[in-house]
Amino acid sequence: MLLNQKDSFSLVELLVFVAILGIFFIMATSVVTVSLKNMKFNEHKIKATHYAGQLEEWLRNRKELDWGGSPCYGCSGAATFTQFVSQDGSPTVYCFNDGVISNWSESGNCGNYDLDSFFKREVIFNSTVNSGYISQVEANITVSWLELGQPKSVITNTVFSVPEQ
Amino acid sequence: MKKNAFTFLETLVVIAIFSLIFPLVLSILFIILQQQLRVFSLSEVKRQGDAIVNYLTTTISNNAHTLYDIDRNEVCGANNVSYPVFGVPVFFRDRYNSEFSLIYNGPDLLIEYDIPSVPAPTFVFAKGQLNNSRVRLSSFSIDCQRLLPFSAPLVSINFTICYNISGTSCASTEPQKVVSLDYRSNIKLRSFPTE
Repeated sequence: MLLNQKDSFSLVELLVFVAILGIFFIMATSVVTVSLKNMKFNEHKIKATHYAGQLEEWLRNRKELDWGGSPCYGCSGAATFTQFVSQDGSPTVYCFNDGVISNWSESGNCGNYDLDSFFKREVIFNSTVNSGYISQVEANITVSWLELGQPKSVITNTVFSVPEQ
Repeated sequence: MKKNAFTFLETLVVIAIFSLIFPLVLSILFIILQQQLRVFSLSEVKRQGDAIVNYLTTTISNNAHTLYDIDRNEVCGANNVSYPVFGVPVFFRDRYNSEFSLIYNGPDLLIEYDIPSVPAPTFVFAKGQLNNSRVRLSSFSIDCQRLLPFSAPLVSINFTICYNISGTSCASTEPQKVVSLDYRSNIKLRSFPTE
């Protein structure tokens, strides 16, 4: 009897096996995709945090070198820190898309993701004016990028005030 | 009696399917490992870069009182004719005239000092190499500037830090493989002599 039995898989058995294998492959693929996406996001986040810190450090340097104190609403010859940060009143926006920040740019938003050909770095200044002088500047630094078409960003808030001697 | 074994054709088909799937799986694994290594390298580079900047900021800001160039001439001091003044400090002295120095011996950065002679107190920071062998520093530069005789000297430190891939430099023929970050830090001295 046993010798006469045909030792092969039936169609149902084969289908079940293929279905299990298919489910396993789909799960493995989704896990790999999610993990790769997370790793890429982490890499971009580390870089964005660094770029935000870089700008904060540069602004701190500018502030230490020449705080000024007086605002400069819409003037053409801004020279001090407070004059630059109050160009367009409060808030004033600047774009710093150069890898090495060397000087103030024209105020305004960033058009493209030019920083490292992937990020854009903007800072929004809000000034507190007391008796005609700026006593405190709140800087809101945002480094943003596109992650598979979705906008992502790292935001740093910092406050600059009159340098203490 | 029929022999229940795979035919040559069946075996061939199975091997062919495996030879298609195996490289695919291996290449996916390779991409994952490469990406993981890149994230690890980047976080290590950032961790060490931040640590170096924090250490230098604390050390120089709290301990340096006067700055000297390689020939031990004072730079960014308070006795200049015109301001602002600029300089390249290498040696730093505290208020007890005890000296420490910042040495860039590419690709490493070191802080060195001799034990201060009594009655000056000993330095409360460690000397030696600031980075470990996993990272390399390049394009290191240091300078100082002082706007006015009564304003604090500002020390600027710039460097690029990258992950050490088999001892090569940060500049590579394949820039997408290099993990590097630029650091620019400005340190204001807490205590300094004025005019």
